[in-house]
Amino acid sequence: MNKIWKIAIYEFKRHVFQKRFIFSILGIPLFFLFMVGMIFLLVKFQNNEKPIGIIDPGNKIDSTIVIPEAADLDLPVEIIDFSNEDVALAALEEEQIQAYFLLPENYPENTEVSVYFSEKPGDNAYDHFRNLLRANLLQNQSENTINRILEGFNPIIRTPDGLREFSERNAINLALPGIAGASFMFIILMSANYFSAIIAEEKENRTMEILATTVSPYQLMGGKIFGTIGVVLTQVLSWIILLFVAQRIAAGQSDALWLTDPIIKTRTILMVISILVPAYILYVSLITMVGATATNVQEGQQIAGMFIMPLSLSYMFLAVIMENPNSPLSVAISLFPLTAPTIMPLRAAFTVVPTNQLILCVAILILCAGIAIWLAARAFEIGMLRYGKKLQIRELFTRKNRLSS
Amino acid sequence: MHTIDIKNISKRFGTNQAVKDISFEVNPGEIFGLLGPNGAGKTTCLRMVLDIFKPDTGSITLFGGSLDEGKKDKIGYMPEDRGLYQDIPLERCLTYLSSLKGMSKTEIKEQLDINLEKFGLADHRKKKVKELSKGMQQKAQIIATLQHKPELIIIDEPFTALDPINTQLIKDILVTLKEEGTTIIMCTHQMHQVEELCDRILLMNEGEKVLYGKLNEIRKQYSGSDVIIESPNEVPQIPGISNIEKVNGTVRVGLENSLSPQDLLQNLIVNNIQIEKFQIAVPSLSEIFIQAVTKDGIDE
Repeated sequence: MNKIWKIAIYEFKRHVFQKRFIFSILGIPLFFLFMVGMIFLLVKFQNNEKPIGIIDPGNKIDSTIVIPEAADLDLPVEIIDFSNEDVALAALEEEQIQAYFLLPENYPENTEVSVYFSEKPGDNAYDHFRNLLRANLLQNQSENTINRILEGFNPIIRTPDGLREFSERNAINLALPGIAGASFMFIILMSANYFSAIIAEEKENRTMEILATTVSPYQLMGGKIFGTIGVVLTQVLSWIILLFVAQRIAAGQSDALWLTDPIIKTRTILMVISILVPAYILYVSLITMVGATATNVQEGQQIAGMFIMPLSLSYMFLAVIMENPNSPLSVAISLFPLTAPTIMPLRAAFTVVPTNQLILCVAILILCAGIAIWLAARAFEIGMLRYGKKLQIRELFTRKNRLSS
Repeated sequence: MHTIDIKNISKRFGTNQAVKDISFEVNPGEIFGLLGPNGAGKTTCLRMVLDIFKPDTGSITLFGGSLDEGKKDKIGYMPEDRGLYQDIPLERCLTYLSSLKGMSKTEIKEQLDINLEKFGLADHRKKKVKELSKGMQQKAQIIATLQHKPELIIIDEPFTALDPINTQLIKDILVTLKEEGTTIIMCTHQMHQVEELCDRILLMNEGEKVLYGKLNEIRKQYSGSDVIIESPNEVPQIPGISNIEKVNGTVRVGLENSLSPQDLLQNLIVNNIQIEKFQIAVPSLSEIFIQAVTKDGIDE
């Protein structure tokens, strides 16, 4: 087997078959599940199962009417008709009901409804009351009309050139570039730990000289980079699978079209991939270069952490991009290679980025990634036997030969 | 064909001329000693041989050609800066390093069982490398060097951190390997080990060649006209004796050119001096080392 793959497999196994890796894979989804659970609990606490009372002096409301399914009630409540306010108030004081609604005598001409409660009623109480009124107003309409009205409206917003469209089903297209940019930052943060330690570890434990006389620098770097990319991909793929499972579960629980039947445009996917792939190679190479110049693992990781700064700084420009995604500043930072992977997708979320700018952005990223790979290989070659003495970046451009310790 | 053929190599790092115009050969199946004080340029020479550094001038030939990836598998190198992966079990560490030398899984397992047993590390194979003592790590490092049965072994200071028993074990292994035809380059400044093991040596100082050749010829070259005598009697002051020095129950007698050791022996017999030992004083390698290096420039 080729030595590159032997090194790659060794690096992959060394990281993946560790308890801490399993924890890191499960940790994020578990945290996410915890947060979702908290939101569910919060929503649950905002609902109240107690009945609500209705006082309808005009006798215009049929409180026994069946509310159509399209109304999508979270937690229906029992509705009790009261003949007058005194009885309703007594029931409220005895905590038999959570609130009562008093309709005006001339309803529906007058739509001003009063609600009385001791403690704030649950959101489901309001929802159920509103749907009861709607069902009564629509009772003479056909079932289709009732359902269509109760579903609400689903506008489709389209730009004049037809390139961008927004509706509930393709809402993910608006969010995806932004999510991709944020995920990229997270993946880089995660990768930084692995890649900064790529060479620093061998320098720290003094195995570098043995490896350098066993395999070529190209085989060593190639194997380590492939192995580490494998580790990161395993982590990301595990999360995508867990996300997919979560989406399937959530889709069964929800009627939201963007979740149950999302449409993702090919242009969006292509744009995200063509920007993020060279950007990832660029970042990984730069982090590896820093790892090769560091004297130990800790130092490598500290310096590599700095590469997150341009990515996180991108979010400081969020307001500028949202207000004017085509301003010279927005265009400039979306083309700058270190901020492009987060800014360009963000811009794409708020405007139609001209194709020539997208091509220029990808071209700059590919060129810079190529230069970064060369720099990483050079840093490794020069710095591999430097112990305790840091390699200066300028040496990458000035020295001809490999140097001694 | 020489295993290694080095012609006029030089290497400069900034203002420091680490190696100056060095040439030497290493023959198949010999133990070759590369000697010199700290900073003499020994390790730089080895690193150039192993293509870690490129020489500024000169040429290096290994197994009849330049060093390529295939030839790297024929070499076992133990650098001065020892290093193994610390956080993994010893067995996994050695298996990985052996696999990079082109060994198959079966070969690795078979050879590893033999070596771990031979070096007394069989019971420690599942321990993490960092849990092993310094001496054990040193032995593990030697296993990593020998595991793939290389044709050429290059070892830098092999006896550091070893107790006398393990030092003898390594010496015996090196001698056995030599007898089996393995070429060994040993880089050290432990002269007594060189005297016991090496066939030929290169002594370097400040990047330059000081002495080069067969060990016994070099010793002859540096042996003077002193003799060592062990006798219950006092050695008389015979004309031609320059000085008499008592050393640990023996007497070291310095001779002038007018008196040969044979003449002295005859004279002592004639004078009824009882002789228990009479030996031409051959200088130790340490003495030659100091003499050559001092003469060559350390005292300049």
